[in-house]
Amino acid sequence: MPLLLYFVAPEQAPDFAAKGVGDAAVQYAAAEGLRCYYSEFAATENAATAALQFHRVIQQALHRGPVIPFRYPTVVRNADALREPLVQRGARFRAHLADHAGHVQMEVRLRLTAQTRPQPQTVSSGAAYLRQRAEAMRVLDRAAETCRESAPALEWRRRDSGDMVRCYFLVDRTQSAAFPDRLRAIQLPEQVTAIVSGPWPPMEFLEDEGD
Amino acid sequence: MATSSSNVVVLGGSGDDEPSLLDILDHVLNAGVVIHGSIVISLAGVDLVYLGLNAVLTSVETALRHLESHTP
Repeated sequence: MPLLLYFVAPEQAPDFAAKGVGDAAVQYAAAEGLRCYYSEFAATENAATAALQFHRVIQQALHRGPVIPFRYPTVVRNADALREPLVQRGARFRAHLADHAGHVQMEVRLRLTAQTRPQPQTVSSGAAYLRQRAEAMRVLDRAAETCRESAPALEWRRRDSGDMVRCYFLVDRTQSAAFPDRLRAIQLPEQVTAIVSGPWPPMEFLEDEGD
Repeated sequence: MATSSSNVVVLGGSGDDEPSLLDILDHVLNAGVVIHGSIVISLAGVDLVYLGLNAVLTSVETALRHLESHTP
């Protein structure tokens, strides 16, 4: 029976009972001082609903303690297969869960407003479009720096994705509720929209093992 | 000219916008540990986790039908 993997948690994680994708019971297998949570996976009629159910399981677990989620959908063939990532990466997972037991990740997506986003069809030349785009990125860069300097965070990461800048903030769990209000107090350029979300598991701060 | 917080949208929490389906899908499909190797179920030799949004949402069901049809 295929198994859908949800997340990894410490071996001493609080008991956790939930219905997962397709209302399947979420269970766990233990190895290497860790728990790997999974459910039996069956085809669903609505894949988007399934992804939402997956998301809710992760959020419920995150509310109780540190977790390392798998990317959705990670499906393995059987119970033996689900222990393999614990064996291969157990040390890295244990270190991350211990180091970030009291942390969560808040995210800010920065985009130019629709009216100020460069549009190829409105400029006279390709060069003009590129100049507009470069200026647009400078505006986003300034907004990202303003967020980084003003938002309370232990660490900060940034990823550029097309015409959007994603900022990731590692914050103490106890500060996550106040984080959005701190963002609201920041003076951002009027050409920029900021979308704040979280808390999420601090996956951007999982150290790369170089594979 | 800088403005106040009217251009900041907060998803989740009381009185704020709820995360949209797209926001959630964007997160669960792009974040999280990726498993390499043979334990990942593949479809036509392609690891499911590397497929794009639309392909993933349809390929899981396709992969399961494929598995079920080959199970004795």
